[in-house]
Amino acid sequence: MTVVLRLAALLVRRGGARGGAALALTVVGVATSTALALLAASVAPAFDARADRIAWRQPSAVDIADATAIQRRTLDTFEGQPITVVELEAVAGVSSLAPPGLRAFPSAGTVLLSPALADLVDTHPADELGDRFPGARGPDLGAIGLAHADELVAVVMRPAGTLDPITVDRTASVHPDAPDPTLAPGVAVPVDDFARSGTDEELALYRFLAQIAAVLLVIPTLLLVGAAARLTADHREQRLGVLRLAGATPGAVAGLTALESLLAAATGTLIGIIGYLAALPLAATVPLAGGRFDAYDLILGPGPLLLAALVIPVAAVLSAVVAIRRVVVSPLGVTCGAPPRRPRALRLVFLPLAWLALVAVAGGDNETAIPLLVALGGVVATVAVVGPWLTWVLGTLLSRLARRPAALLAGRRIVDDPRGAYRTVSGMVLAGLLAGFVFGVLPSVRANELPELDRRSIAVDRASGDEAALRAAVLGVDPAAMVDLGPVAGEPGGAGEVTGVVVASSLDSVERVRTALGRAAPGAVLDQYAGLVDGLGTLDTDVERGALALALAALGMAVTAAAISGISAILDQRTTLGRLRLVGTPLRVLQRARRWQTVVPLVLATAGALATGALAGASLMIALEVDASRVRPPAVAPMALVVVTAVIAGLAVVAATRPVLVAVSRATPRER
Amino acid sequence: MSSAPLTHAPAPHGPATARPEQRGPVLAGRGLHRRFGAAVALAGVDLALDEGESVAVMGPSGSGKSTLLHCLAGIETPDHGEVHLDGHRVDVLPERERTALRRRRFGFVFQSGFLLPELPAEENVALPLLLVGHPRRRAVDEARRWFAPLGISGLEGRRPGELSGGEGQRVSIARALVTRPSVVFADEPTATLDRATGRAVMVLLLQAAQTARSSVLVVTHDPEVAAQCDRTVRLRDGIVAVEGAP
Repeated sequence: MTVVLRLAALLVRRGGARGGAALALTVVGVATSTALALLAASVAPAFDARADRIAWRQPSAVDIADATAIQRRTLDTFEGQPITVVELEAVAGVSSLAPPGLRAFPSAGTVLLSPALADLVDTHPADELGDRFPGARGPDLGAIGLAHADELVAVVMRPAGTLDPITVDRTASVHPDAPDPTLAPGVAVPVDDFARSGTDEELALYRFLAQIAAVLLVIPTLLLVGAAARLTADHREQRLGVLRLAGATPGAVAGLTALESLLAAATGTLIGIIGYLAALPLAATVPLAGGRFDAYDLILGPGPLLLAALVIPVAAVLSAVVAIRRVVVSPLGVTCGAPPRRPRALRLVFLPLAWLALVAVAGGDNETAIPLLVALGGVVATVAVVGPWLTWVLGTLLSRLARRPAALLAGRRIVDDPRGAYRTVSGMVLAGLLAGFVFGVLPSVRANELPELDRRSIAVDRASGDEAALRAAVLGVDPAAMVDLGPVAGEPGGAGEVTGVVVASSLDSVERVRTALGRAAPGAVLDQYAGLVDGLGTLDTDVERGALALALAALGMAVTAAAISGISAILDQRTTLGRLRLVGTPLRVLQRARRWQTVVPLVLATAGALATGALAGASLMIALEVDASRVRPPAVAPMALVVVTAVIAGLAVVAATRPVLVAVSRATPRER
Repeated sequence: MSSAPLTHAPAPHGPATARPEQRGPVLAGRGLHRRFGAAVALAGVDLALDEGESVAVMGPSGSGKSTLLHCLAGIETPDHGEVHLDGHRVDVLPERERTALRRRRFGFVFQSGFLLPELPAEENVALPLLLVGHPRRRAVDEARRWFAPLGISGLEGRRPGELSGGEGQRVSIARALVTRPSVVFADEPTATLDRATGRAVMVLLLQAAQTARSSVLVVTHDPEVAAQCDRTVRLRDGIVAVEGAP
């Protein structure tokens, strides 16, 4: 061990500019990967934090004798944005309960609004919004009781006797899968406390999506860590090969590599963690599930950070040690220029196996999302396994079909090191996976957006009062509105309630109609969109925006990674480039060869990742049991645009790193 | 492996073989100076090569042999002095034109072959032809014609890593001569070979060059190699110490 340490210290000290550049490239690669992986992993727990903050709105029913308050939660919308309305009434006029952020139970007649809702109320006519919340305005609701800063929430304090609480019969036998009637919107429930943690159906879906995004990102990011650890592998192989020839044991060579990688990867991980924390305010600005995150929500606990600090350097060390196995096995393997092993077609077997596993798991009856996420992770990992083999096939085709020296050189180089060629562009897999996922699912999501007629429609449920009064209230603000309401009976608390549909005459009047309905029938459930029959319907453009933002971030990282790999490849091929220059190869031929070398695996990686992402989206829809008639084919045009963008970005990287090529190829080649 | 003399040189092709009417030396360096920091590599060297002539450059390590070769071949530019090819000054040409010069008019054989590890032997040989614009099939066909005369038939599809030192050097010779260059530069071409193989490689190089009407400049430590050349130049401390017959 002492020998290894001494050798490592010597080589780091004497490594010169090239050794330093290799270490720096590894540090940058690992740091970037770490930061992105942590950001990706932080989104799902952030939804848990949101769910905990809004748990107080989901009443937990108790016997009326034990209750100190009655709580009713209804859902409303304004211009398509959801509003949660919580009505509270003190039992016997007194309650010790205090809504989150308040010290005491507010008095009856008080209205508390979230800051975003208060802004809307203040900036819109009262008959469109403000009149829905009659009463004295109290202080704004604090962030502690809101999912996010943009959430629209109103707490309306009712006088005693206003809310008619549901009677909970705990002795009746209930089917375990039957919905809990106390959780339904519009039902008044006796409560003795506010929950401080819990789950929310909608946020659970977003959490699931975030977990999928994390799987899509974390696995390729770890692969990138491995790639970063192998940067300038050729240089390292040559050096270690010489050490082996000089008598270093396989253990010493492996130990030296491990130590060197550990040093760079640990530094990179530390910088990555700091970078992740620094990027949180920016990441929090991406609106997801209706609003921006509180940066604090995105902070992972010490456990995950410690795990990252351990796993990432270990992954880097393993990758680096595996990369030099040729030297460990035989030092002459490198010094004699023996051809590297070509990837085996056997790798292809993993592809159908992983897909079969995913389809089997997605179609199964899963109690948790974990099996699906594991299966999805398997598919993502398969992309990295199959990628080098497909790259080799394309390289072989290119070298066979090439007519000009640039394409021939590129093809032969790809065939010579398909793993390296694929590694250079593997960062693009991240962007491709995300874009494939988004553009795979998006057409189906958009197919669920309703036409204008439906956006003017308001589904009315649990509206107390009589039908004629409601009709009059609606026609009072929109005489041309269509009203189709009727009594309903037979449901819990349904006796004497009115249900039906109201269609406003125009989009301009729909909010006034909604306000009139809300005033005439407090506690009524007013659903803007009829037909939200499955989980897919709750996805909105926020998800699209968030996922695309992540895809753009991944693209940026991919470009950075490609630039690092590209520079590394030039340094690794210093000798070859010198030889080519010696025989009079023009720089433009070398540059053209680099373009071929980049574009071929790039198109393969991006297109493959897009297809995988789209299939992952399809699997998600299967898992959500989306009706086949509502599923639309993936959006091909934007996917093609992603491929074109990736190619342009790849070519830009090749162009940007040209000065390194010029500098390296101008250095007079010397005998080794 | 046989070292059969060249009896059938490949037919000349296109611009790579176009050579102006020769008057005077093909290549000449005059008053060449080159310094690397404080170290003086060349301190005023004059050297000329006539068409078809072979010249050995000898001298101790650090005497400036390789630097002289690099300056004459346009790989490096001298600090002072001039390099002329066919009477035209070439050391002042921009890098792009010097690269084109190496591609079209020069060939190179180096100590360890300097073959591209990714390319099979035949494509290594064909590379200079591809670079001057020959179609791939024609370039590879032309390259293959050099294998039999150099005694390396059957090795066309092997990669450099799968060739012995002597085989690799023969492939290098084929690559250096495939464009029928005006001058072949050889830097310690036999240094990594055993004596018999080294001698055979030198014989092949000089015979093939003669057939292609190429001049040869060989940098070597080996008196046996020098003895096979028409003339020997000895360098010491960056200047020509002795010049004459081997």
